[in-house]
Formats: sequence, C-alpha cells, structure tokens
Amino acid sequence: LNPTRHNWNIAFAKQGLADFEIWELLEGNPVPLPKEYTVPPCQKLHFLQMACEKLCKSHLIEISSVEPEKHQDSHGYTAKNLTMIVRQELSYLSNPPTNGSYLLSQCQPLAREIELLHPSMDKGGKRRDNCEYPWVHGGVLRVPLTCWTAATPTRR
Amino acid sequence: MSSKGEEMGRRRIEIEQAHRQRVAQLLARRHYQLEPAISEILTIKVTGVPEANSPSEPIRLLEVNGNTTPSGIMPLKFDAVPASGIDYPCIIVQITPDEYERVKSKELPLPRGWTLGQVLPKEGGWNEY
Repeated sequence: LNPTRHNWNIAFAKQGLADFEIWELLEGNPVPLPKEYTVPPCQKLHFLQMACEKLCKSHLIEISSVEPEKHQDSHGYTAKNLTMIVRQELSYLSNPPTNGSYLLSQCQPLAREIELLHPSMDKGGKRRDNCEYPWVHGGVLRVPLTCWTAATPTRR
Repeated sequence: MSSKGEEMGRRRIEIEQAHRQRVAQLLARRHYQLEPAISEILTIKVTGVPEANSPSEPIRLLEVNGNTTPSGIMPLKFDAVPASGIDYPCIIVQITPDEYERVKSKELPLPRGWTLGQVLPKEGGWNEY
C-alpha cells in the first residue's frame, strides 16, 4: 500500500477489525470467522509486549521516585529490566543452570525486540514496526495484521 | 533490661547481621556466575535503617555490568524466596562501568540516604553459605 490518506484509512480499519475479532473471541461471541482462523501473530505479540512491560514495572514501582500513575503512560523499561528479572529467577534455582550465561545473553536482544513492539519505541525512527498501529517503511504502508508472520519478533 | 537481656539482644543482632551478610554474598555469587560481565557487586547501606532489627528490610545491591545499558539508577525490588536461601527481599541496581565511575564521583547520585558499602566477593559455590 502507498501511504495515501485513503490507504491509511484502510490500514487503520484492517487493524481495528483484527482487534475487534479478538474482542469477539474473548467474549465468546459466535463470530463469522473462517474455520481456519488463528489468532494473528501481531495480537499475540501485543499481549507479550504488555505483559513484559507490566512485569518490569511491577518490580520498579514500589521503590521508584516516580508516582505509580505516571508509569501508565511511560515505556522503555523492558529491554534492560526483563533480563534482570530472568536472571533473578535463575538465581533461585537450587543448582546453577548449565546454560544460564547463554540464556541471559540471548535474553537481552530479545527483551529489546519486545520493547520495540510498542509503537512509541522506535529507536529514533529507525524501527517503526510495532504490533498495534500501521507504519510506513521504505515508502510502503504496513499493517501489523499482515506484517508479523509468527509470534516471535520477526517481520515479513 | 538486665545485662543478661542486653547481651542476648546484642547476640541476636549479631546473628541477624551475619545471616544478612551471608545471604547477600550468596545472591551476589549467583549473579556473578550467571553474568560474567558483572565486574563488581557492592552492598548499599541506608542511613538510619537498623537492618538487623528489620527482617523485612531489603538487601540492597549495586551491580556493575559491562553488558547492561546505561539508564541511571533504576532499582528493581524482588521478594524474599526462603526456599532458595534468599531470606530477605532485595533491591538490585544495575549500572554500566561508566555509570559506576559517575556514582563514585557523585556525578550520578544514589537515592537520598543510600551509600555504597563493601564489594562482595566472586569466589564460592552456588549454594555456599
């Protein structure tokens, strides 16, 4: 899609419909979805991003100098803190994990990718891809619904 | 309080302090082992907090990690997990080596009342108490 106003309209509507279908599923409503319908990867990633962000904030909020309510509209906590949380969990094991260092070295870039799923985290404009809103990349308008191919942070 | 009572009180505090120190060392050793990029882990002391009288008072650690990203002082709190030998809640602050230099020069201040304590050793086994 070219990023014309009309196509932005279509892109938002497509993503909005995808969100609405998830709502219908969660409600248990009998919706006219194709038999082969599966939850789109962008929706799964959206929940993963929200879950990780809230997990990180839960560890921060009790001792943060920032008012708790301010954390509702702030982002960018996942990349650093998720790895610390994973490491803390590993340190509760009764024996040292044989692959602990490797796991943590893999966790850090993955946590960064999860953080970048939020539309406001775009690495200074270099990574506009996200799992909620359409964006333009290389002059092409992209829609999360059709851009994410699997429930992992990789783009089509 | 009788002198015997005072002595028992002092003894209890000493035992509590020693246990707290060992738990801090245990946790630090595990973190060192899990992340080789951690060069130093230090305790953080808080002015006016008698830790030995407050079992719910967290252990505070400052970790210097060459693999982390600079983000200032961003403490994370974790609950105690006695089944794993971690009998106290803990607060972990992770900073880069550059940030550590700025903390030492007071350019990057710790929260009010927090001061750096001793460096915890790397040596020892995973479960060594």
